[in-house]
Amino acid sequence: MASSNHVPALPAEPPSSPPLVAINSPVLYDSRASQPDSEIDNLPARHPMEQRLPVSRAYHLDCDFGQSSSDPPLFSSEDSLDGADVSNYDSPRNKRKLPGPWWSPKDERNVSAPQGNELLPQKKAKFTRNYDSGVFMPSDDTVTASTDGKGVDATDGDASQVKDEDDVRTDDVEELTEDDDGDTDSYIATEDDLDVDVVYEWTEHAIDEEVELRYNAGHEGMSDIESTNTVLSGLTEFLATPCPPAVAQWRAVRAAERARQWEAAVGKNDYEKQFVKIVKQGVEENRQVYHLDNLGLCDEDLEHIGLLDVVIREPLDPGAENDVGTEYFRPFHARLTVNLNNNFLHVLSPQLFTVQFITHLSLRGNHIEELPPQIGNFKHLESLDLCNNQLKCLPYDVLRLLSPTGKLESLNLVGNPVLEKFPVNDFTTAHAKAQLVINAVHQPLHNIPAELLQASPKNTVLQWYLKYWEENQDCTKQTWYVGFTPPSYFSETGRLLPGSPAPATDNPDNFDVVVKNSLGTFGAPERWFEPPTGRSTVRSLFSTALKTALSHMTPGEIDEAIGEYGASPDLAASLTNARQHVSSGYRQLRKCHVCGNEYAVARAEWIEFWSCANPGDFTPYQSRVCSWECVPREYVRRPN
Amino acid sequence: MATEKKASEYVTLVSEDSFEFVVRRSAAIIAGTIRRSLDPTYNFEEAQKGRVVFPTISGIILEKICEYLYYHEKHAESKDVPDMEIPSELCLELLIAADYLEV
Repeated sequence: MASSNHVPALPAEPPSSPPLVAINSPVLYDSRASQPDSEIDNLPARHPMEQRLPVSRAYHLDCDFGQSSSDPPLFSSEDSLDGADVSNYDSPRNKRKLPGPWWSPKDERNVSAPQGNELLPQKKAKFTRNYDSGVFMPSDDTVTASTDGKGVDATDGDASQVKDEDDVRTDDVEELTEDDDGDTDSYIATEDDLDVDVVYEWTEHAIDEEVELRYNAGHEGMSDIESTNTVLSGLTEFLATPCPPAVAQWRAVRAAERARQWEAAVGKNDYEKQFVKIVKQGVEENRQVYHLDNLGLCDEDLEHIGLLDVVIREPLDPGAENDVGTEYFRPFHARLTVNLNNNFLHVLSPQLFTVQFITHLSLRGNHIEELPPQIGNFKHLESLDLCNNQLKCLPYDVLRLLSPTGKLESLNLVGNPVLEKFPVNDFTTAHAKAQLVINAVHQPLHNIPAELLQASPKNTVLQWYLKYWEENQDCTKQTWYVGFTPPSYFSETGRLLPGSPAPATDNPDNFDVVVKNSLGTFGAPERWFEPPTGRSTVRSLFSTALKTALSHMTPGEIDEAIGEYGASPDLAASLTNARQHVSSGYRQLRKCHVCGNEYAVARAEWIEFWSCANPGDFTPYQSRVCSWECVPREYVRRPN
Repeated sequence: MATEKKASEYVTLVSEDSFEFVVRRSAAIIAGTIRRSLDPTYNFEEAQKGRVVFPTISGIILEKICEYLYYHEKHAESKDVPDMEIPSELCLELLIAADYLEV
């Protein structure tokens, strides 16, 4: 209740006839209060506790059933039930009021009371029905301290949310018991009706407006069914959410923002114009599938792909679709299919990764050399097609998109110069051989590869095969770990430490992969580089400052800004390195794959090979970390 | 010689606008450039006087650098050290200064 501005009344006196039996008039009333003032003066002082008896102001509504739910009289001075009578409620009701705020001691308030009397002069309130009561009042200021009937309306109007009918009723009764009018029953009814009506009117009006808005915002070429669907889905969304003023304001701001983006989205060149046209058309139709193939797009042409973010999945039409039962309450999340095949994309665009609900992404036939780690943003990705690109490995983030942490089910890398320790054919040959042996000799299956390997322990393919075999026994996994390359360590400026193995991506023809299986560890090089230990783990001021700088500007801007001072070789080197990591357009720093901290220059990297059920299909995942301490311990030491 | 004079525990770092920062030697030598200039074996003037002047670093930046030196010294042996906060308006100058000082 927002009635804090009312002059507070003392709790009403305890009912002289607590169990109001079979009385329809829901007024709390004390028969003694109707006595003349002189008689009240003569009343003995009452027990203090008696005055504080809790009085439920709304509880009389329950009395309609003709049964008393009250306790029997507690004190002998109280009237018995027999005294309860309609006539008790006919006379005007006097209400004791004390001047001063409620928190002042009672004695003080009594002192200032006129004539030393507890009772203030009666003030007869006039009840008028105010038909504006359903309109929401702007602020509490309209509630004056007066006790007349207008206060009720203003208080009700303050509540900007739709109240339950019961709430409204209770509120009214509470207000009324503080007031002096008698005819409350009819008043409550009308006031209730009034409130509810106005609320309905408001909602209907809003719906009409919304419908009209959406129709006006419609466009040519949209079929009737589609536009109705769009309007309906929007309406459902609109009605499902209560709308406090702050949210409404936020929505308005966001809508304005979107409108601005929408207007601003025009292509700079013909390719981009074509692209924007297709995207806009699709968004207007709320389409889920976007074919953007063969448009000659470059990375920067994808700038406006973020428009796709507004597409929602339309609710099922219970009349038209059959399996409504299972999916009726599905979310509005879109399931977008975006095909960007056969374009000229190299590093993609940061805006692409703002579209959360891409479930199928196809990037066939582009020139992607390194997939940005932001690919991890696509939490809903189910298939990723990267055929015919220049990828050597995938970022570790893709691994998280696979089950069990993600939903990615199909990952296609055919036609990429992916790192491989040996040709796939060797593996499939070994696999075929093993199958032959298995068919010839009836032995427990898992013994076969081990036997093969013992025959020729130097055979890398067989080492991998055993690992593959062992892990493959657990059919529940979608992908499993096979081996790793020795980590490469970098200085603060991003230079390879002397003695550290070069990253496998730099010499794809000759790198080591350590594979650990039940027969031992294979493939570890003789000379194993370990990073210098005992050094302080505090990040240097140089890299801290570089990180801060990169979080505000691109490497190019930094280069420009410090150009006049002349960058030292170290600084230039680390900037070059940062430029590789924070490839153009991506302002965000990369996140460490182990600890999740952001870094500007990676301090170590290695590649892990993971296999999937398809024999010979080993996918390299590159992991980069922010400090040497983030390298897992089993990778730091040479495995035995 | 500086070693005979029992080098003072504190050294003075002077900025371009002649702010002077008296810092502990153990903290100051964390920066490679300062360490070399204070190294008694090279017998630079700085080593003799225990006072290093930086004609290219302003007082604000040098103050931040001194803060970092102490921060580094304090956390040298601890793990999971939080990065020092750097105000974004200073980061470029700090970057250049840190590059120069090898810190």
